Amino acid sequence: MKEKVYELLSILNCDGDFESSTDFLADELLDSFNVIELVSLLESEFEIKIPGMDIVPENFANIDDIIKLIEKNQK
Amino acid sequence: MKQIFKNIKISAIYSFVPETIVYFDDEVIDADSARNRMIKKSMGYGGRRRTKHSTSTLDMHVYALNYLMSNNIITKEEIGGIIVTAFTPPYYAPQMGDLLKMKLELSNDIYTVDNWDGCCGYLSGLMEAAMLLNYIENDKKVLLLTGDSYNHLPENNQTMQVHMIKYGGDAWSVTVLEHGSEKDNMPMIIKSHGSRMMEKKGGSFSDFYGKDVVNPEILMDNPNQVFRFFQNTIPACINEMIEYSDVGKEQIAGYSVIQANSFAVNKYAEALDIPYEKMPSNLVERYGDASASINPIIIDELLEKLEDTENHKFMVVGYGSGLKYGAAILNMNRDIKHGIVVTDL
Repeated sequence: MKEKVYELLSILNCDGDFESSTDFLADELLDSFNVIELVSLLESEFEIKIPGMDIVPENFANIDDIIKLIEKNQK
Repeated sequence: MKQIFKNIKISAIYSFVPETIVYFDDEVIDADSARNRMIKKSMGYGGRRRTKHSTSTLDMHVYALNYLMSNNIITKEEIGGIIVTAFTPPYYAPQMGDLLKMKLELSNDIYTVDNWDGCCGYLSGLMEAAMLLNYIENDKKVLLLTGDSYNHLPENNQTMQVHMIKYGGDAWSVTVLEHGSEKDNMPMIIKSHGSRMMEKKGGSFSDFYGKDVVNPEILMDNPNQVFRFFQNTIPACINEMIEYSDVGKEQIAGYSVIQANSFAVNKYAEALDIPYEKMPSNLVERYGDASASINPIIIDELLEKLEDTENHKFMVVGYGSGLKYGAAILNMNRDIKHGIVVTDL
């Protein structure tokens, strides 16, 4: 799953060093538009629906947060 | 405020749009980039309507009221009040309602009021119209006018320019409210966070939100904060309205929800388990972010989809600047005079 998420992140920012970052937003690897785009990609790739209330910066801060969000919505 | 307004009905809803359409693909630099394609898909951007540079919001409403009068939908004598909601009036003063009276030679006795409730303007305008109707003669009607034109954006606000040039759509509308029967009730809820504003927008002929006059402490202009605020409050508000009105969710034939983008509206539908087709989110693709005027446009589309002439309940949901938000339930049927008029303005 981690590799797939990295792959999706690279679509949004092909030059971004996501593996070294612990805060994608603070490091300006993602902006608010990217988060919306990422939600669409995750929903399509993992066949999930991410509730609007979960679309908050802290759920997209780093790879672990994103994976937690996916797993939560797979249940 | 939470209130069930009684003996009030809507007898006509007309929306108006300019004939000129500008497309997202033509306005953004490098439309074929992966990012722009994804923004377009996620947010639902497509085309938006734009008035001519010489057209003011006042011109738009003069056109609309002349249209209604020449098509015998309203007479001058029937007008008891005019509520105008706009972010882009031609002037602070004189107010648009007063200018309309002058331009159309309407009676001095007509009560007019302008509000600046932006995307929540249709909803707050409905509430003001309902309150006004309680105090005017039975043979008088109240007109609710929404409308904005972003063709005169100020030059000195880059954020505003970027947002409104790409996504802001020009549209305007007139809703006619009149005294109804005992069964014509209109439950409404309007709330406001109040301590913060949400947006800085420009007037059609003046920059009335210059940064010199706005206290940044009262602004919530971080998109994440705004998104989170409304994702929390709007589904809760819709549920509160369903409970307050005692109208079951399954009885609501359609929802007219403000839409700056389709993504947020789809998330409301998912949160409430409402079918997407009952809560249309694709209007932004054809009209851009038309602020309060998108509510009547959506109502028009919902009316067109009705398959019978029975009464149906629509829920109108508005939210916007001032973090004001709310909902109303309207009794609607296909016989209500309605339409979307394409103009050469």
